[in-house]
Parts: sequence; structure tokens; C-alpha cells
Amino acid sequence: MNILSTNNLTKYYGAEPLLVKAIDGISLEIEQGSFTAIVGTSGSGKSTLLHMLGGLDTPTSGSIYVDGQELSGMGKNELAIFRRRKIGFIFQNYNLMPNLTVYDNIVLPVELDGRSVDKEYFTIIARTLGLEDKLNRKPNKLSGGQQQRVAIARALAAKPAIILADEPTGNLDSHTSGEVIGLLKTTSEKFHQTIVMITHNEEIAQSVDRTIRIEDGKIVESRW
Amino acid sequence: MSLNKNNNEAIIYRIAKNNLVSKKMSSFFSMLSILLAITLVSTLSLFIIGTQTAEQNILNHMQHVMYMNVTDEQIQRMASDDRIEQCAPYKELEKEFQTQGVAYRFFYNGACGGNIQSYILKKGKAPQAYHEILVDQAFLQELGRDAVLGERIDLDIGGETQEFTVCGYTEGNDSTVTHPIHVSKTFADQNPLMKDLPYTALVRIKDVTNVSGSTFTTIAYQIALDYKIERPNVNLNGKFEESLLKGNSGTYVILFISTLLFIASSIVIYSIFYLSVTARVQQIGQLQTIGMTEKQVKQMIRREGFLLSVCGIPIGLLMGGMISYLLIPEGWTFQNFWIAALNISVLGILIVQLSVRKPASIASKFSPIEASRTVEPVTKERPVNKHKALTPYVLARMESKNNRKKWWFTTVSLAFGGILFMVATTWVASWDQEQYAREGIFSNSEYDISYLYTHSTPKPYGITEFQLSGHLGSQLEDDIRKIPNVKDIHIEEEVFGNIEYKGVTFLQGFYPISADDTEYYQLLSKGNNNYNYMVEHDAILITDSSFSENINGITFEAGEKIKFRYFDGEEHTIELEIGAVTAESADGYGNRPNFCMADKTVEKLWKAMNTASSFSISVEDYEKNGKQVEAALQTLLVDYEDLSLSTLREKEIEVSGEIKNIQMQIYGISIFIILFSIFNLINTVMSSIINRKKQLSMLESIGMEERQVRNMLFWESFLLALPNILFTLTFGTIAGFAFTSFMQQSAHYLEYHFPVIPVIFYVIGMIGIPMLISFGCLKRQNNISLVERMKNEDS
Repeated sequence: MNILSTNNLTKYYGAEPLLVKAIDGISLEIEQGSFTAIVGTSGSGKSTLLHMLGGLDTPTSGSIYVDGQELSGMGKNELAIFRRRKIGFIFQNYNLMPNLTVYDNIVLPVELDGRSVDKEYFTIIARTLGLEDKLNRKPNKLSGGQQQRVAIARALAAKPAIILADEPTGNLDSHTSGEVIGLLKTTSEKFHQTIVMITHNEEIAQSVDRTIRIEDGKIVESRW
Repeated sequence: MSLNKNNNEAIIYRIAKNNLVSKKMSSFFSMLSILLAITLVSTLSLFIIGTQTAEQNILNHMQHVMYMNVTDEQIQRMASDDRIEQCAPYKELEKEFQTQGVAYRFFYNGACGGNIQSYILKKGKAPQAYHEILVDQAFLQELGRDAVLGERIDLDIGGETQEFTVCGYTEGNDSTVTHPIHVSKTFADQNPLMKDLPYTALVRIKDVTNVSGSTFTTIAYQIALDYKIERPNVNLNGKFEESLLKGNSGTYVILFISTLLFIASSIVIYSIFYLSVTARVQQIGQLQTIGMTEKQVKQMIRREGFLLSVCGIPIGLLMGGMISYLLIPEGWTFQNFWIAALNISVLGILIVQLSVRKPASIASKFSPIEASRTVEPVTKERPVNKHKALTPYVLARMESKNNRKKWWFTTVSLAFGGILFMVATTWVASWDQEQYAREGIFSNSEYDISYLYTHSTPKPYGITEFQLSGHLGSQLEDDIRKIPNVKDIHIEEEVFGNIEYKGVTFLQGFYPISADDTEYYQLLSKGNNNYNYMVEHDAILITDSSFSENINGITFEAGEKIKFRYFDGEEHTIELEIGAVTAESADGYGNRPNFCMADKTVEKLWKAMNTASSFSISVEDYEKNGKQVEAALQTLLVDYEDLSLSTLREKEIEVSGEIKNIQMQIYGISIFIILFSIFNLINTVMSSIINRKKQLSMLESIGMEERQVRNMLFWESFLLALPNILFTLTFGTIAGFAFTSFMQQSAHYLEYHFPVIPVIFYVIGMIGIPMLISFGCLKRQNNISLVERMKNEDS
């Protein structure tokens, strides 16, 4: 079953003759529970595509469906609510709240939605990601890899339909990068979680279920 | 070049300049604080200096001394005295007249031309012919006549009407109740009302503007002696005498208020620089990594302060100069401006450098290693409390707790301004205008009827000949009591006579005291200060002795005798003993004479003569019945030409302008002081939001709605304002109460009132301003797409 699909998605900036086609007609489908990597060179449109899939940016034309809901008709607040319930984000720079503890950072999207935290589920996530003994610390006391684990936990906490990871290993060394990718795979399998990850690292892309290559805003290759 | 040598002032300067340009907002608020402080200090300084200059300009056109009861011949001789610069004749008719309800009095002033300017001739000429008069334009306007030269008007002059011709106009005073009418010498010498009035000589003495006060006094009295003018008839210009004193209270006022303003601005500048520096940990760390020394880091921050001073000070001086010119153009000079500008500039630069010293020191101590790790400002690790559900309120509280120092600086500067604001507004709110007007003769009454007598044109025995008429007697008292709503009549008594003592003769009033006037007998005095002694020995009590001693130039000794001449229809001479002398006074309002005599002694000397000097009349419900009672009293007094009526209403009009002026100045200064705090508040709130651009966009990316972000910012504003409001209300109220209580000792018109309206505005402002700023910044940020905002690094 497809958890995410797009139909002829475009994102253009400016106007002729200086029109920039960041995304130029992308149609794709992502299966539920899969771990997909979107690869491409710098400026190929990967981040732009990811932002649109997550409702952070709006397409120029085309449609996006996530978990059966079309994003294009939604207003700003609807998108915000949609994001906290259906999308989990993992950023290259972790983007944790410096004034909150690890625990608070993880449960933030859930509590913003006014829901109570599923304590059992939380414990599993924390154990899986090796964060049990770090819950009371602040992000500035953690290493990069540890911070990224917190970001992953936060993305998982709301039990989203899909996790979107934008260069999650971009700021990490190779060893830690490997660890983080391993954790993403584990969570994808364990929690039957759909993950779409952007990376420019071909090696990392080998560990996933499916690779989609983008060049000049178009999909040029898609292989399992 | 030695490793210790840092020969790169230019690059430090360039980096500092770039820092300011890249942080436009905090640079703007810092400069604004400096500008505001300089504007206020320069305005205040130039205003006070300008007032003194204006006063000096006025004194340069005034008499130094008035010699009263002189003849035309004496005036002519004084005019040709080498010691005297100018001597002008002057007469004043005390009686007030009315035509069509407009009140006026007649004056003769021979000082047209020369340095003495008793009036400023706006148009026309000084009166020469008998019927020519000089008036102010407001007088004619009130009469409903055209303000045209040559205008003929009929004026009532004591029962008859005479036609006068307006030959000129003077500059008038809008709050004048009684208008001056300037007449010619011919009128003054020939008209029955004025011809018997003695002249007063208005005299300017040569070369006394740079002498001491005592030298001036000596010269003035010597001239009096040379022309056989008695000492009580010498009236020195007190303002001129004061101007000769070295040092004045204006300087202290400038220093005091400047200190307050500079403290307020220092707190703000310190706070802004502190926030700016702690938000630049990474940048400063990077500079140190590439080789900037600690000394150079400090230099860089200090340069930033200096550059802001260089921008803010000239603009502040310009604004201060313009505002002070608008306030007091007649006292404004370029010389004063440049002197003030130089001093204030130096002080301003020093204050700013002192304020940035500590933040510069903090910046120099950042470790490059820590700075390179940290993206967000490093916060202190605090004990973790039990988890609370992350609502916008809880997030706001966490933000406040984690930025305690920043919030604390803002609270301190807000509270400083707030407490001063509360003291000032309490003072204004506690000022009872009616009580202020009641200071003096209206302390317990609303009307005062007294004999039409003035000490500037004295009679040999004061008001005695009026008292012999008995007009302030039982008949009038009964008639007044019959007026509806008259509550009470207090009869004030005073007797007059001439004292000869130590070769000096002077006219003196006495206040009769009874055995019950114990406040007099409790004064600290030399001699026998008790009622029985005074009665048995026909002794007198002299209070506030230094006042009389200064006027008469003699010292009173208890136990010595004085020769006393008095009149009760016949002249009598008697010896009285000086029973006691005291420097203190029992009469707080200064309405009564300083010399006292036992009531039994008064009875013995004046026997059955009416010794009343005034009636003080109080009214039931003055607000409601005042007009009616006043009209009735006016009607009653038409038949009493030797009595005059003074009213509380007239006094209130007279003082209202003065009070309003003072209150506006107090409000103005306190609002300006609060402005510093508000700048700091705005800067803190704005920098808090701008520096968290990425953080706020991250919250939005994980699903925080705009409504939730606004709620969080609202609570942050509220939590920022609350400690300040509580602190200000508590300590401001205490300070306001203490200040009012202290001032009440001398200012009886103050009665503590909590300044409700100003405080409400203050609270609304303190909560509303940060809210508005937050929402405004948020709205502005949201104009940029979420993706763009997420890409920005928080500064």
C-alpha cells in the first residue's frame, strides 16, 4: 500500500527568461514500511522535494497525497497540525530545542497536539536508540550522534505516517553516520515505519530498500 | 615585529563598524538610549542655564533698589549722583477699580528709556498728557474695544468716570487678574487720587553686577543715608541680590537629574551590550581562533560603544539645543550651547565606555573551543524538575528561566524607571491645588476683608487711622453673618506704632497674644517668654528676630527698653520692655507680625479702640455656594471704600498656571526616564525573537500552530512584565508615600493619593508593549517562507 504519492509535482522559482525549475514534473509512490533514499548531486532538487512532501513548502503545480490526504488544499495551520500528527522530521542540524531536556524534546510534538505520551512506546524508542540514561540532559551536553538519535526519537514519538530525513548524517563522522543509518533501518523494520531520506552519499544509499535518483528536478532512476 | 605588538587599530575599527551594521536593531536601540540621555541632559542643562540667562537679562533691565517715600527733589538729586546709573520716579495707586467687570489699577512709571524697563512698550509711546494712558491689549479686548492707538475709553476712577486716550500698548500677562494702567507724570502729580502719594525712586547703581552681596547692600544703604532716606524705606531687589551669590541651586538640580538619567541609560546600554555579546559567542570565538587577542576583543567592543556615541551624541545635542530654544528662547545663547555641548559630550563618551566595559571583559573571556562547539548560546545546567506537559505557557516559562540574567537586567532597568515614575506621579496626584492656593491667608477661610493699606506707601501709624473708623466692626460682622451660607468669621487683630531703638525708628505691627496662645510661650527664646511677665512688665515678644534685624540693621536684646509711639485718636509715647527674643516663629504661614504684645497690654494702651485688621470668612460648601457669597460680599463692600476683598478664587487662578507648569515638567521628566526602560524592553523582546528565528521555525516545522506560537510569546511577555510590575508597584508605592510624607513637612498642600490612572497606563504599557512587539516581529518573520527561515542560523 502506498503511504505517499505525488503526481506531476513542480516547483518553479522566478519567471521567464530567469525561470528556475527546482522540481520539474515528479510523480512517485512510496510504499508503507519502506526505507527510501533520494540521491542526487548538490542543487538537483532533493531538499526541495522533501520539503514539499513534508508540507513545509507548497508546489507550483501537481498534487501530494500522504496517508490518503491531499496536502495542496491545506492552509498553514492545517499543515502544522498535519505535520505533527503525520510527519516526523529529522534534520541535518538536529534542530533540537536547547532549553528542553532530551525527554521534553522527544515528546514535544505529541504534547503540542494535546495528547498524552504513550509511556510504553516511549520506553521502547528510548531503549532502541540508547537514550534511556540521557533523558534529563540538555542537547548541548550531547555529542552530534547522540543529538541525532534524539531527533530520530522525536520523529518517531508521534507515530507518524512517514519520517522524512534531510541529510541526517551530514554533520556526522563516518562511524557515527553508520550508526545512525543502522538505527534508522532498525526503526523502519521494528516499527514498520516508512522513511524517506535524502543523501548525497552513495554508500549510505546502499543500505536502503529503494533508491530514487534526481537530476535537474526530475527522477532519472528508481531502483529497488 | 614583536609578538606582543598589535598594530592594527584600523582592522579593529572596521570589524567594530561591521558588527554594528550587521546588528542593526541592537545598534539602533543602543544609539537611541545614548541619544535620549544626551537630549534630556542637554535640554535640562540648557533650560536651567537659559532660565538663569533670561533672569539675568531681566535683571539687567530692572532697578537694583527702590527708595520709598522720596520727593521729586530727592529723585532729581539722585539722578545726577555719580554712583547712580539711572534713577526713575514711580507711583502706584493701591486701590483697584472696575469698569464692565474688568479690574485695573493706576501706575506712574518714569522709567521709559534707559536700562530700567518696568514694562515693554509694544506699540505707541509713553503717556505725556494728563489723559493719556498706556495699557495692555488684553485689557481693551476684555472691555470689548478695539486695540487701536488713539482709542478713547471711559474708566471709572472712584465714583467718577473720566475719558482717557490710549497712546500705547504694552506686552501683557495672560493670567493677570488686575490690569495695569500707566498714566503720565502730569496725571500722577495732579489727580486727587495720586497727587498726595509719595514717590518711590527706582534706582540702578553703577558697577555692582560683579560685587558681593554684602558690598551691594552697603552701597545701597549708604546712598539711602546720604539722601536721608530711612532704612525701612529701602527695598533691595532680592533677585538681584541672589544673583550676586556664588553657586546656585540650579547647578545642583542639573547634577542630580543628569545623574539619574545617566544611570538609567547606563543600565540600558549595559544590558543591550551584554545581550549582544552573549549572542555572539560563536563569532567572537572564531575571531579568537584566527588570532584576535583578548585585548583586541575588548578594544573591538569598546570601539562599538565609541562609534555609537559618535553617532548618538551630536544628534542628541542638536535635539537638546532645539528643544531648549523652544522652551526658553529669551535665555538661549550659542555660547551657553557650545559650553554645555562640550561638557556633555565628554561625559557621554565616558559613561558609554564605562557601560560597555564589563560586556567587553566578558566577551574577551569566551573560550574559542567552547564557542566553536556551540550553535545556540550556552545555558547553565539547572536541576530538572518533574516533567510538565509542554503547553505554550510551560515553554514560555522555560524560556524565561533559561534566560534569567537577560530578563533580570531588563527588570532592573524597568523597575528603576518605574519607581521614579511612581514617585513623580504620586507627587503630582498628591498635589491638592485648592490647598496650595490656601497656603497663607486662606488656610481656614475663602475670603479675606482687610483695610486698603500697603506697606509700600505707609502711614505714620499703619492701619490705625483706618481702625479708628471702626469699619471692620460689629456692624459689618453682623451684615456678613446674615449672608446665607456664611459659616464663620474669624477676626484678626493687629496694632501699630513706631519703635525707637538704638537710634533707629521704624513702624511696626504687633499681634496681641492671650494666655491661651501657648505656642508662642514654647518658642526657644532669650529673656522672659511668658504671658504673666509680659502683662506685668508691659513687655513685648519678638519672634523670627533675624528678619526684623536684617531690615532695620539692629540687634534686639531681651531686657532692654524701647520707646513706643502709638495713636488712638491722640498720640502717646510709652516705654516697653523687650521681654523675650527668639529666632523661631509660631506663625507657619507668615500672615502675622513677628512682634507680639499681651492682649491686656493692648487693652491698656488702645482701650476701647477697634483693633481688628481683617475678617477671614469661611463658607458652607464653598464649591456650591462660593459664587453667591462672593457676589453678596462685593455688594456689601461697595459702601466701604477703605476695605478690600481678596478671594480664594483669585488666588487659585493666580497659582493655576504655576502648578500646571510644574506638573508638566514632572510628568515630562518621569516619562522620559521610563523611555529608557521601554527601549531596553523593546530591544530585549525583539532580540529574543530575532535570535530564535530558527528555533521558532523548527517548532513550526514539527507542528506548532501559529496560535500556539503567539500564546507562547504572550506568556513570555507577561512573565517578563510581571516581576517588574510587582516590584515597581510595591517599592514605587513605598517610595512615593515616603517622598510625599517627607515633602509634607514643608508643603502642607500635599496629601498622599495613589496615582491610579498613571499606574493603570503603566501596567497596560508594560504588558502591552512587549506583546505588540512580539506579535509584530512574528508577523514580519512569517512573511518569509518556513523553509527560508529554517535555513538561517540563529545569531
